[in-house]
Amino acid sequence: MSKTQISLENFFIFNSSFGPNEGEEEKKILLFHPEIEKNEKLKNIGYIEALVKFTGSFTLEPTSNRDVMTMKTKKFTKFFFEPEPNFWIVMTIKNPKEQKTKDNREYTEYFTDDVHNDVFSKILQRCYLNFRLFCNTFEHNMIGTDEESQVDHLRMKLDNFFMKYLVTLNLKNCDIFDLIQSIQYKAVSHLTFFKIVNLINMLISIKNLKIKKCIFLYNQEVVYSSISPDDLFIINEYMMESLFPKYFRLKSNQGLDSDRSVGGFVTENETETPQNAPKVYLYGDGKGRFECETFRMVLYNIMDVSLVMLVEDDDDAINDEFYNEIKYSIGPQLGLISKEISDNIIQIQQNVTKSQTEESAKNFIYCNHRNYRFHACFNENNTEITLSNREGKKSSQLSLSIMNLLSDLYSKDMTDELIDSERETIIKTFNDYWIVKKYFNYRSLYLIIHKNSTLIDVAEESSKLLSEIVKNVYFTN
Amino acid sequence: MEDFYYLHLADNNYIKFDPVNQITNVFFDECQKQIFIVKSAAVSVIKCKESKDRNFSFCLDNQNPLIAIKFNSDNSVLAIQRNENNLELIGFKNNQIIQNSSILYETRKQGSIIYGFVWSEQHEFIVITADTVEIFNINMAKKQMKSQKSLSVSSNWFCYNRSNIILLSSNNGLLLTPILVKKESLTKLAPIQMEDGQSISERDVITGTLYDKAAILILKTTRNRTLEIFVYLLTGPSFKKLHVLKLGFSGRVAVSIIDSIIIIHHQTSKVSLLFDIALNGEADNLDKSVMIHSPLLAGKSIKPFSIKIPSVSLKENSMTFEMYSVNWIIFGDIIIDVKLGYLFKLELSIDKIQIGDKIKLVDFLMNRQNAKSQLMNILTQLILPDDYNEIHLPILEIIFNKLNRVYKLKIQHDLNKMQALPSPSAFKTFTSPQPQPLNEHPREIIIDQNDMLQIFNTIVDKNMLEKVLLCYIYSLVVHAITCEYDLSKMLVMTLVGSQKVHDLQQILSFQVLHESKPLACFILSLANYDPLISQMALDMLKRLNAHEIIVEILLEQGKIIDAIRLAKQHTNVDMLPARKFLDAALKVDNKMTFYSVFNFFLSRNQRLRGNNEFMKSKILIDIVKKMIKYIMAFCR
Repeated sequence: MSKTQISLENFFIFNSSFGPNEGEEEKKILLFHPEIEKNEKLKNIGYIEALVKFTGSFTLEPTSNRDVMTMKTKKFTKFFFEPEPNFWIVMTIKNPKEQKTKDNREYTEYFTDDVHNDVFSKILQRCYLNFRLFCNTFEHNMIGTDEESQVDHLRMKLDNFFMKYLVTLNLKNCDIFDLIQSIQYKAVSHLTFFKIVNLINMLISIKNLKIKKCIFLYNQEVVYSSISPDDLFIINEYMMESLFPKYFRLKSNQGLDSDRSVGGFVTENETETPQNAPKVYLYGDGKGRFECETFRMVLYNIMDVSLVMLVEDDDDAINDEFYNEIKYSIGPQLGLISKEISDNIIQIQQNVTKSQTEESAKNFIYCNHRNYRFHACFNENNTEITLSNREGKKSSQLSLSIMNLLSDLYSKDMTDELIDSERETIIKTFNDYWIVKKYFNYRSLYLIIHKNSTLIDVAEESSKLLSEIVKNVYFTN
Repeated sequence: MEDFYYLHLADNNYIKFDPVNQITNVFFDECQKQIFIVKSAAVSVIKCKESKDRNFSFCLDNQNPLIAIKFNSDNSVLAIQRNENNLELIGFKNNQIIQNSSILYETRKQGSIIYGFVWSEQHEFIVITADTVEIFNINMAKKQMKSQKSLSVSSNWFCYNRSNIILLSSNNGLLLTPILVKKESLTKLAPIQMEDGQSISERDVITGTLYDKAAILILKTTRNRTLEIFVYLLTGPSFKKLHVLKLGFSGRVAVSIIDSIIIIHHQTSKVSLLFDIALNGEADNLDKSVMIHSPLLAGKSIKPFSIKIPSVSLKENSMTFEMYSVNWIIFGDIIIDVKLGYLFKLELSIDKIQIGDKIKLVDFLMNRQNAKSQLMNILTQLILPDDYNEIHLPILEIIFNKLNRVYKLKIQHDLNKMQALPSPSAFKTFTSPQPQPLNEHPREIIIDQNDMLQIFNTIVDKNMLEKVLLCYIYSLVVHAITCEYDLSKMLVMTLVGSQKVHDLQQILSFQVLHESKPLACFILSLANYDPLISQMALDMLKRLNAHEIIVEILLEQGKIIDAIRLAKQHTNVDMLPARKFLDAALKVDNKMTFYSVFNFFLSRNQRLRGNNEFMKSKILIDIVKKMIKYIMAFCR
């Protein structure tokens, strides 16, 4: 029997204050997935309640509700956190296991280290942030005349959302990229960039359209956005994991994918029109500004370009005028930009193939912690990693342990941020893999070199690669 | 409130002269702008040009009637024509004729008629006869008239209006031959054929200069009796018909050209139309190279004009002139009423011209020599619209592109001029210099980024400023113009102010702003707003190789080790001021850091001076004391 993959054991949300008395424990449960026997559910909740209470007496300060707590057992890893007072979200993950035989005795080996604490903590946080993006906070969903109906409303909302969301959660492919929570932007030429910025500025300045913010994507990669990085990351994830796959499936079912020059509004299903575009709640980057902004999110796609428009939350905002303006005036302009970018890419590719065909493989992640952008390149063909093509590619290249090692290094950087000084770490792992990490001025570079050589050679090679990858910025002495 | 008359007669620049009557003849020389009032032999000359010379009078020897009279440019030679066969050139000095100084010119061929003569230079004189055009060099002292060049062209009439083109008509006005006058020489250019068989009369033709190009304007009547003006421009070696002006009416017209704007005065309707050939017209269906223009805006009359007349009574009398009078003769911007004896100067008020289409208006103003302030006003209006109008970014984008196209030409011109200066090495090489594409200084008004900055400075709405600024910078980028310090600073401030630090970083990474140490330091000064900003500033300094400044910044940020590492790489480590680094290390309050820095300098001293002691200095002694304290603390 081969090794099992990381999978979800259960996922639940509870609020102890809803059922403080004995016999009323069931009221605490807001969501429980998968559906199991009631007593089992309560057992799980009680377990977490006890853990929090017990460990709480050993910590000096009350735990910050933003932090995810983790508990590892042999078979499971539990992640739990309190995004809003008294509301707890808990995710239990099955550790991978493998049946082995030794001395003719069968036994099960559990790979507890495969489940990286920090990576899955981020996943859990994102579950909440995703919910908040579309449904606002738990507290805001307590709608009703009495407490009971309020809680029921919240339960319904949670149920509607998470039943759909948990299916898209692809736990076995979670890795350092989920930890970085940054976005790999599509690089475009400066002329194209300005053109996009101006187009978006123009859109925003048209008062009738009530468009407030925009995200510009090329080939499902972000090129430009006028929203804060935190919100962008969540919206991007929603588009990549849910919206785009559904849309393209829909389009190919209708046989429309052949003519890409026809633009259209991207919706989750056929019946949806831009008029009932989903509401989104943006909370910003949490820097000083906490009030929530509500928008309607409309996505328009033409050729390779997609434009996300966040429109003022007004029943009348997305009307026929809006529809026509986007379709007949903005759409063609987006098409032109799409053509421009694709021409550019072809040109660059030609240049690359001419000049550096024999160049060695580069595996690296370069990220800037200050602007939430990263750039990664992860296999022999120098294909860039994007959320859309991540699946299946990297796992064949780099083993989970190396990915987890990278995650470890990354978490270290984040916690050590206060000591902000140049750092360099070189690690030799098994199978002749070397990981070189450089950190300076809130930027870090992780190089993965597969070579049987000495430390000096690796150091030399890494500085050579460094100068190739990182240009024009003050990265290291 | 005066109605917006954009054409008016100059208030204080009119001239009163004796009107034409039985005994008075009046001649006007367009080149010298002189009026000759001839009463039998007495001639008085009135100058219209504002010059130091006063008006003067003199007497001619001969009382025979004159056909033409013209001075040369410095009034040293007077040319007089009294009959069809000969001309007289008379020396002139101190406002008097020099006696016995005349040269007589007679046509060589019997029966050849002199149509006229032209002073092309101070001592160059062109005579046009029925079959020749000849240019002479005049030497009054030697009483010589030397022929420089002669062209034999038979003609019926000629036309000359203060340009370097003489237009000859032959074949009864079906063939027009332009002659180019250039320094002591005459060149015959390809003749213009009237294809439609309509013969052209002398008064239907005017030559002039439009946008520094010689131009011929020919008035034509279309089939439906309305008038058109064909504009021929000297392009390359010949004149080409490039523009057609549709007048839309028939009747008597006169043409003035002011500041390259063609003004058509229509006598019957008392209206003047403006045309600007630099603006885009419609392409002709038949001939794509010809542009058809309609009037710039609806026709308006010249502003009514009246002058005060001194009177004996207390009541002031004023005299109002009849506009578009039949007695008017128009020479370019000069209007002469021969009957009343007045000369007026026509003036065009650019600021009163209102064109609804702002792009067209900007185009129009850019071509005016003196309209910069006017153009700036319009731009300000466009960028800062009042409450009723919305700002239109797409229109602004088009306008910015227009401005920057010219701006770029100017930059290139300046650059070429600098490169054209002989460099010392040029003498050593024998290879002929590469013929550079000649970039002429654009004749349009140049609105550079500093001008725009003035306008941007008036924008209060930060949100709007950001959009307009990005739009403008996009246009600069398109034209490959780098953004200078002041504008860059404004952009940085605006983007930081509206929390678009990420956009700013992206823009900086494209390096479209002119990177400089002051800009980097300015960006650094905003570092409190967002931690990303200090990263951007350091990146820029790195690109500028400004390692000293980076070292200072690192010291300020308490990254002493990084600072030393950088200093070691780029400067002579022996010269590093130990005190500065140790001081900074003390402030960090990290014992390990301080120890490392201190140790670094100790070992340097060892290497340099053989012992690890610092040079004597009070502050250093303090530091050493502190060090000892640290060590003691460690030992405990």
